[in-house]
Amino acid sequence: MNEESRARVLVVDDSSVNRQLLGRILQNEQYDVILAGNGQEALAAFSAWSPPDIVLLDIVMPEMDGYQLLGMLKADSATRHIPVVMISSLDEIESVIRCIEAGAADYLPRPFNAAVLRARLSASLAEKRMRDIEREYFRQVQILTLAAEELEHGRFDPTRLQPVSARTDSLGNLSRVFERTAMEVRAREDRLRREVRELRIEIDDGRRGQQVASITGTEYFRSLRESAHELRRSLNAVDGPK
Amino acid sequence: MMSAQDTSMLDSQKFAGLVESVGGDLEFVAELAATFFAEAERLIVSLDEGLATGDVDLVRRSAHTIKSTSSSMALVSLAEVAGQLEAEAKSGDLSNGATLAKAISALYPSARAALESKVSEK
Repeated sequence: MNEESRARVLVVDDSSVNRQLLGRILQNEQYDVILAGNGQEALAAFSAWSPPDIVLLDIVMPEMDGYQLLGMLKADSATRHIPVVMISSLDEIESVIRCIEAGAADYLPRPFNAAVLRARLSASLAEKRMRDIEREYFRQVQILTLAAEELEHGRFDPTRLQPVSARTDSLGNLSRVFERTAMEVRAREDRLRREVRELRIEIDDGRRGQQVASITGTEYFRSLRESAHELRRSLNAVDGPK
Repeated sequence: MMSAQDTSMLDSQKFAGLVESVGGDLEFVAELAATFFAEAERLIVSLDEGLATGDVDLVRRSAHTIKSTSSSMALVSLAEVAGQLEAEAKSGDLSNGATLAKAISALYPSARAALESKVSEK
């Protein structure tokens, strides 16, 4: 969700009347509404490509009640951060307290009042927006940390830093400096590897030369060479000039 | 024009609040009332089923929903009796359950008439 797009609100209530009423109030408040008549339908909404930004959850429902669904949402790292607002009557305040202690963000009393609904949802959504920004920041810090590890192990891929380097804040600056430094280090390493390769060739050539010299420099080799010359001279004398 | 009986069934101020909450859309409120009638009748049957089979949870949930939706529709008397039945079911003691369920069934026609009368007002 960004500032321009409408927030997506999931309403979970087994009563058609409550879903219809709350759905209309929310639409009038410019929210996109998803309606679920039970816990299973609600969970399916989170598997969709565009999960809800906030959940309005009735407590009393058959099969999977509001407490159970709240518990499942808070236990899952993929849905834990989505605020859940409990729908309740004023005489259910103990149930509401229990839900807030279990991680619900707030409660919405019945009968529904548009102004109260607007205030409660705005507050919860603003908090979610801040948390989303924080989560994204920490995710990008992780990308940078991972890049440092990869650089150490010679596996650094600069394209992975693109989303971080695109930032206009200090983290983005750090990422760009890191990227530049990593590229310089890589270039220096490549240069060093080339120089080492060249040195190795020189050394190998030198070694070979020494090996040859160690053979050809011996008395035995010299006497062999002289014997070969003598033999050639003798053969030439026998064959005559050609 | 609402009768004296109607006024005890339906709280006009709450009804006005309902209409205001949906931006004054009376057509929508009439549709909502139709949904309420269908749901309430189904829930009253569930109440009887729950009482017959001793399913306390079914009685509690059905009474809870009648209470909350009646309250949303400004049907205060129906909501109150449903609330009492919900409280009984929560405590696990349904000795008074049948009486309260009968009271709900008895109130319902008048509640329905009061709501129908109100939504048809211009």
